[in-house]
Amino acid sequence: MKFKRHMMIRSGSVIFVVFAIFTFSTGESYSADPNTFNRLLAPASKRNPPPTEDGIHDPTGAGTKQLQVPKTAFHDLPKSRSGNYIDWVKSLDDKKINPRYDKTDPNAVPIVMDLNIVREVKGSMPNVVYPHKQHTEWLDCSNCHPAIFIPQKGANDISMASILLGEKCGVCHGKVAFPVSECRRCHSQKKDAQANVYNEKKK
Amino acid sequence: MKYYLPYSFFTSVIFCTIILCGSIAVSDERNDKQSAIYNKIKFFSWLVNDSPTVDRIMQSSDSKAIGQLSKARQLLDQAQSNYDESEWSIADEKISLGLKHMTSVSRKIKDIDRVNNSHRVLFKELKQHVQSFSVAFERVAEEKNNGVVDALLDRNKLNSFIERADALYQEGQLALANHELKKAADMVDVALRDARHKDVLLHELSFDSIDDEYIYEKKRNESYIMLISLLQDKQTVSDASRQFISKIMAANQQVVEQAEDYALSGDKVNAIRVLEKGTDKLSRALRMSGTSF
Repeated sequence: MKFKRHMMIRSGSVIFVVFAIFTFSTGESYSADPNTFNRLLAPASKRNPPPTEDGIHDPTGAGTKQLQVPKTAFHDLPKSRSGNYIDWVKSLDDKKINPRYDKTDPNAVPIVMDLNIVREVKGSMPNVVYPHKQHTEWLDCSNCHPAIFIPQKGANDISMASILLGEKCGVCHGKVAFPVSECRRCHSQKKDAQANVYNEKKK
Repeated sequence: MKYYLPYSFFTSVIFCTIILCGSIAVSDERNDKQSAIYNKIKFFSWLVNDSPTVDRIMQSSDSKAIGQLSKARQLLDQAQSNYDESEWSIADEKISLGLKHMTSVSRKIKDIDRVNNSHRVLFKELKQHVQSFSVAFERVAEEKNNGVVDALLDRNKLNSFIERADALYQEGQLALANHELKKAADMVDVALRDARHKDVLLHELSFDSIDDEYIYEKKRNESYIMLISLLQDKQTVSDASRQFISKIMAANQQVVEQAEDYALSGDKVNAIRVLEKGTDKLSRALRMSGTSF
């Protein structure tokens, strides 16, 4: 019986410690810097925290607790496999959301450009397809041109390294758009026979 | 009785824990509210006493605006008293009312320098936009070499918008200047959109020299390592996978050194070949880190 009582006391203490850890850890912020690169790579357990814990809003601000919690706001939106787990392109296509294109003009419509840019890459990775359409449904041309990308073929030195360092595509992807771990969403075009011949020649 | 003792102890520990957690949560909420109001008072105090808005209001000689500032200062004093007496909700209401006064008066007595400055920045950005997109359009028109594309942009109209914008800017009518320039920007955007409609531009992978290709291959290898490290930091990767990834990374380090040796001896062809194989092996580590391609 002594042994049993000892076990009970021990298990009680363990539960107490677990409760205490849980209580203190739930108040933790997810990120100290709201612009931390690749914050959208956070694991699923830490996705879409409430405004008081997202590391973006002031947790002590009176209005912060009034803001809608992302999980509630995102409830009816089409799901995605990464980032904030929402397929924003589909949300827009399905008219689940209706973002205002101009903050002062509610009737303004975007200038949607339907131009695909394909970039060949080496190795087993498929080529990159950049669709202007999906981007210009959200953004103005001036959001990216000419500051981030010069609108001229061959004028932009884009590499995965620069993207991973938060430049070029990395200005948005990983911060407010799906993260770089989703290789296939950009590397989406299989290499054709021509490209293989080219690669063979190179070797 | 002898069975009750441990159970009652166990139950009381749970009970105490729940009480403790509850009181911590309540206390946290109270502290959050208190600290939020304290921060608001601090900010509001700066706004009504030391901010540039105060200087602007005082220099304006607008008696109504000065009256609103006095009212805001009174509300600050009242809010501070309420806060000292732990009447946080009342203090919060006073600050909110004071902020409304200050917002209204600040809108009335505008910071002309700041507004003009932001107009100037926008003008510069719009100019760059119009210029780079006009150049892009002319290039596309030349490439396509057909009258239909060429006619998509009315150059005379575009130039008249730009000239009008420049003239307005010189006259100091910055908001109107930007309005005109925005018309020019929209015009050239639409022309370029129509000229490129449904196009697919292919950026072929070609190198000016073998040195360029070697640099590309090195960067590609480095970017794989960067991505693997990043994923291991951010994603849940099993210990077994981590060990395997470490082995691949160590082998890759040898590959990179070997490639450098080849490159130093002037054999860039073999340096590239070795790096390509190494990078292919890194693909496996990349997949084990949680990506799929």
